[in-house]
Amino acid sequence: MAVAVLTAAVILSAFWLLSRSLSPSHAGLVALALLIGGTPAAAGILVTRAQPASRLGPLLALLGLLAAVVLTGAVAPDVSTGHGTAHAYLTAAGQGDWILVYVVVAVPLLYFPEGRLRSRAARLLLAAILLDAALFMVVAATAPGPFLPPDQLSPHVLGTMPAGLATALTVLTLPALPITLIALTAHLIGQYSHSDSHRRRQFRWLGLAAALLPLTLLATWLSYAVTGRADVVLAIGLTATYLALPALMAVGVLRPELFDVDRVISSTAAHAAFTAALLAVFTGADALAGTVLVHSAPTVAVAATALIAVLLAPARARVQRGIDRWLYPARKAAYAAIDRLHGKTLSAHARPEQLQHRLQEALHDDGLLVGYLIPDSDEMVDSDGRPLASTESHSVDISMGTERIGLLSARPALSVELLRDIAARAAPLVELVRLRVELRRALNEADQSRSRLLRVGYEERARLERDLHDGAQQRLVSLGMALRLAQRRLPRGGLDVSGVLDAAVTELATAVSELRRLAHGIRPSCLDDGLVPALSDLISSTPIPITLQVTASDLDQDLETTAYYVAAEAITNAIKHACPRHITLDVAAGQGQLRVRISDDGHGRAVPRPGSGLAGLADRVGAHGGTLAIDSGHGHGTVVEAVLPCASS
Amino acid sequence: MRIVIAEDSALFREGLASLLTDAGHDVVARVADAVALVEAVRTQRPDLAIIDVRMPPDGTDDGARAARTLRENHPDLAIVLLSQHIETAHSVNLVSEGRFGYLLKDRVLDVDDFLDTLRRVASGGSALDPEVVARLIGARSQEAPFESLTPRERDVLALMAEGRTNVGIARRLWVSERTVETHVANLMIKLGLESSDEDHRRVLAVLAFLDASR
Repeated sequence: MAVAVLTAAVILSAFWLLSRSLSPSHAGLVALALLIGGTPAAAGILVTRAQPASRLGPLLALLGLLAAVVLTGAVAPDVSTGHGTAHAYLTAAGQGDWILVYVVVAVPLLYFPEGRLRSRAARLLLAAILLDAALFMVVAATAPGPFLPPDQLSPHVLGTMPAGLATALTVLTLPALPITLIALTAHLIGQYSHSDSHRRRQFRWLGLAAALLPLTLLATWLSYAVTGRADVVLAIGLTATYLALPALMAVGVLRPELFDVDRVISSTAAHAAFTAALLAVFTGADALAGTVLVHSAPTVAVAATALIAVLLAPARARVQRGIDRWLYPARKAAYAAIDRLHGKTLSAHARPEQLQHRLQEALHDDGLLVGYLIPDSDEMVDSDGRPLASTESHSVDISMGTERIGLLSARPALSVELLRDIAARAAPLVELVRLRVELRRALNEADQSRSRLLRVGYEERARLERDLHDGAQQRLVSLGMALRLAQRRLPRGGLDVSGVLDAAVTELATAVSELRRLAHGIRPSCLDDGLVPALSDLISSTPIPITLQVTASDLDQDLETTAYYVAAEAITNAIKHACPRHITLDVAAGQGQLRVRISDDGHGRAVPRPGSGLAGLADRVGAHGGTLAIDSGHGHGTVVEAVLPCASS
Repeated sequence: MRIVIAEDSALFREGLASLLTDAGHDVVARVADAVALVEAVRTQRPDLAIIDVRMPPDGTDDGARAARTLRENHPDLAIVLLSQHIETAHSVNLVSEGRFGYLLKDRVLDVDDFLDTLRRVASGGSALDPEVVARLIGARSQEAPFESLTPRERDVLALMAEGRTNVGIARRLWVSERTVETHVANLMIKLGLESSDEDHRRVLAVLAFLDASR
């Protein structure tokens, strides 16, 4: 951090000093210096702020510092002509300074992206580069003979080494330069190929910066072909490369997922290939026209190139696809898989639920998951409607408009940007699947509800059968037996006939009341008189006060029965489990709905467990096309509300 | 006869005990669940056990299961199962071994017939409730060998299956014993069963046939 700040301060103060003493003609140069020096410095500061321990930040700042120094050097002679001796020293020391441009660019590459040297090879390479640069500068400063133009007349103030040594060192140091460059390139390629996906992505940013060099060559060619000159374009290209390298290195370190670097590289390559093809046509046509027609050669060449450009336009997409396949296979494959499935789905040859499988195949990722968000819930499920297995963190949302409809999760090797693009492409299929899942769930729920109702019905029948057999029937058989016994004892005399008959009648009365209770359980006969009398009857038999409000009349009998059961079950449930002091029962009809609302002030915590009375109620209400909502917080009482569709009122 | 009654309804149990006592039998134990029943039989060694099918502890078919256990441990014990309703599953399996009766509880009200059945079972015979027999035969009446039976022969078959002797059947149908013998001989031929003098073996033959053709 300190280094970066210091560097920035040095640069800025240097420019401040310069700008004070400069003539306006230097203003443009200063602005350029500010840009060229400031960009790497800013990159360095950003990296240092994010990773204080990284050496990369200071090194990038150094890159800016060097640019500033070189440019200052370019300006310095004009500004400070007075300090003759210092200038002579500076001139001598700066004879080999161009190699520093190589050093400050090469060294950060060795530290990329972790900010430290990761291997012995890197350390050796660093040492070689530094040693080579130092030797080179020493030779340049002290070799016999005049300095290079425009410094031919400057004195050798740093001394002169023997000519033989100078030659030997030059022979040693100059070839070392391309050798270290090749070694550095090999080192970077080696690093890339032994990296995991994340580090590879970081390196691809480096590759993007490096790609500017061939692009510069291409642009130079273009410039030369069109204008006959290339120096300005070359300068701009090299400057851009010089600036892009630290900037993109910083991006690679800090935000490798900033945008899809793969796609940029891929489409850049496609454009470059296309441009190169056109240029080749142009150059060829120009040369051909020049030899054949001599006159108006450029006109013919331009016409030919334009023609070729038009003819090649359809090929451009193909070129892009080809390069995509080469540089960008994942996206290509995923898109193709999605589009193919989409087409087959529309022609009813495939089911959209195969999306996950197709993407797994296309991206060679068996762990890839597509989650579908059930509408109006936050439940993420797979295509079978089962809850989605826990997804890795590496996932993106699938959206339709602004609505989140699903989730795509894959191995980290696939970039988030790629996943985002795939998610966007797959969104229509995902929407289709989630709606199908929801529909299937609804049908399944209806099925289950129906079989639950059936089961409840059977269980009720079994209970009735048992109650009848063990209750009234048993009682009647026993009664019959008692009467037979009495009958057989009668002839012997001494039988209390009145007592026997009395007991028999009591027994009969009990049997009758048992039968009545059973029949009431099957269907409360008070419902014959309507819902209000039935509910009044219901609350009159409960041990706690119930407020009854009914604003509904002329209801369908089935609806009344269901409403009655909702009220009866909810009240029974409340009294049994929640110990309320008071219950309010509201039955209101309106807007095509009948609302039955039971609220109590008990201790809450009512949960409709499977097989419980409340769950059975939900099925009953559901069978009527209605919904049952249970709101039961801890200590806040319980509200059970059934909303049933009704035709009347 | 020394009898054990296993019945969870006290009302029915005591009424039955009085009936049996009045009829001159010795009710040596009255229990209300299957566990106590097994224990009572072990200690009292009765001639006959009258058992309710549905009893504690499980309240399902505990009585029938206890009957099966008792049959294994006490082969000489005669067993009459009483049930509130018809279950052919329990009845047919046990009745084919003899010394076994399976009746609806209502049959108790026909006191003489009931006592007669108890005696028959205790002396090695079998007794199936007419309702059970009707179901067994009814389920098969459309099948090949049964179709060839005359209505009268079917009546005789049903009474045979209940465990009745030719004399008993004759009394029931208001015909002579000789006529019954003719019917029995005919239907045995039609069903492909060998005739035999022994009462309960006729039942076994009929049941074996019913069972096999199921």
